Amino acid sequence: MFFVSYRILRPDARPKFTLLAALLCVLVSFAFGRTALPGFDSYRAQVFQSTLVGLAICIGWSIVCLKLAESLEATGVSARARAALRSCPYGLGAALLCNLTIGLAWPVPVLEFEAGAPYHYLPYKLVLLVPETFYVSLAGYFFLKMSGPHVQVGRIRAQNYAFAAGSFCLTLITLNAMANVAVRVFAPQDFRLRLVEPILRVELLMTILFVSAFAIGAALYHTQGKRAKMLARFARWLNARKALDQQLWYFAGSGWGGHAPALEHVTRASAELSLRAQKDKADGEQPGFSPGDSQKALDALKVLILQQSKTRLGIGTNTRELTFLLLRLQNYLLREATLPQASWDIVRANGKHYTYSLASDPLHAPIEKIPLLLSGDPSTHDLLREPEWLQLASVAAADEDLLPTMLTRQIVEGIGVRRRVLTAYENAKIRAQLLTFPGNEPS
Amino acid sequence: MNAFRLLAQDSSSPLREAKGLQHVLMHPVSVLWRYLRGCAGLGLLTFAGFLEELDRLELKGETFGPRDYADALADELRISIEIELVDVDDNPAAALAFRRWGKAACVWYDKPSNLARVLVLSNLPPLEMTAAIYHELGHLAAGDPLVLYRHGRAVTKAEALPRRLARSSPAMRRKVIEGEARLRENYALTAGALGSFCLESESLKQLS
Repeated sequence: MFFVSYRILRPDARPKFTLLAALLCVLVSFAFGRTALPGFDSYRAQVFQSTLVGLAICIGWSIVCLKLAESLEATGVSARARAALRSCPYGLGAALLCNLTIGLAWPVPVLEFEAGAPYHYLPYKLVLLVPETFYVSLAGYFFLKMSGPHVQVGRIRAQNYAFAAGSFCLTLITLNAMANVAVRVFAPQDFRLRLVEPILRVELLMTILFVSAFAIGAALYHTQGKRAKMLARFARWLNARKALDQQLWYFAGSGWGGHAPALEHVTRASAELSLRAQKDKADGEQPGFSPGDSQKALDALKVLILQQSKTRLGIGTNTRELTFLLLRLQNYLLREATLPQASWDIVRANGKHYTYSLASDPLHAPIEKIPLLLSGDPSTHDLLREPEWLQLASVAAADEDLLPTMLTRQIVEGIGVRRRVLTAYENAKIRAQLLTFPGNEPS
Repeated sequence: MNAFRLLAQDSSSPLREAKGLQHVLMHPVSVLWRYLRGCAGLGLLTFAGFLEELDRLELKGETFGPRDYADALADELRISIEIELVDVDDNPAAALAFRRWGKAACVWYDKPSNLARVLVLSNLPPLEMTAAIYHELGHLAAGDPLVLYRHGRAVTKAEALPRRLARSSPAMRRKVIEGEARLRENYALTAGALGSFCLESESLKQLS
């Protein structure tokens, strides 16, 4: 009722989510309501009813895990842990299928709560309860981790504490259910009758706590102001940006995975293109290459090398995911007019003035253009319309086999890029060969 | 005498057993609690706590950079702080040493001249350079033991400054010390970049 009313009152606010949540609530209510009704014809009917409850829980928890994996901080969470969270729908789905198969093959009195159960009731329940316990504890652990002081916004920390508490209550429910299974299978009748009642009461109490904790968390999430959201996004952007810098820094130590000569060629070709641009400027023409473009071309190539590298850095998250996240967050921060201009002086040293500004972040332009290059279909955009630094980075990347085949072929044939960019890169390569010629080596 | 000893042992044994049982039962709980506390970062500096520190430096609500933070910190700690760039091309040996330590910056303290030198690699990207400087300044603010140097060389002894900005005493474990310095680095980046933006909302619970 709540979600339906919400959808009617605010039709534009997450319409798909509210509809899904409403359907899920209906499914949960139906499944649990049906189990409370007496008169099940057969054990198989009970197994079906129990599977319906399991299905509702699995769908609900899978949504929680997928949302959690999506919103996890860029740093501090390994790709493997995120993959474990993302595997929740498959893991629980497979477990539910096994549970149903066992239940149909060897029917059990699932919904006769105080009745004794045969031995095969144990694998029937554990095949679902063990994966459920794993995914619920895993999500609880990450919610707790995300309530740490690094989150910076008190309200978001409180929200994550509530979700963590809810998840741990659900973990206790699954452990309690395992105890119930053991009692129903192994305990003698009089002992069982005394134990089942308190076990079911604990389950009810934990369920109330679980629902309350998630309701508090959801209320905190949906009532946070725009300022809190922006601050949290700035902190996420900062983490992602630092993670990318760190990955580039580590990868530099490996000689750019054997692609270091290409970076040298780009530096030399940039010098040639800069000279050409100066001449163009003197002739009154629009220069194609400005002084800062050399660094942009280098950064674009570095990020491309990092993205296409098969070396696992073992730090932070996958580079491609990281750059997409970074781009999304940075565009959001730049779009927000209410956000202050994030810029500062770092230090004055060695006759240089080191500064930083979010609006002119050196990696922003390269990571904005890279998805276009990696899209695989050269017809979707025209490289000739792009700035020369991107064309230069593309030529180097094509030469190093870092781009999709079609685009590489187009660049090698000289169709997609300006002639002078291609020539500058070829000249840089020839110059490098001449410099490494035995007679020209420095003594 | 022997009988008395025996009696004393006998009378204390049920108590010892009870204590042992209590230990067996409580130990996993306390280990789990410690682990969960560590996981949630309880007891570490929060952003609100950092804003209180900025208030003492008169930087709360202002946008600032590493140089401003270093100057304000120097006044508060009554020392001099210099930020120096280690040029990778001019001084490859120093750059190699940084790489060997797995660090991008470090802080050395000269006791006779009361000078803290923050040394940073010059080839770091701007944001990384800012973060590295804030990280080292965070060690100064927390009152962590600093590497002493004499005549341009680091000596093995480490010593804490007589004054510190942090309210609580510095952590003992290296992992916690570094974790807190990382937190200060992130907080300083956010507070310095956004200025009054991160204080204005009461609902953020960040007004001290």
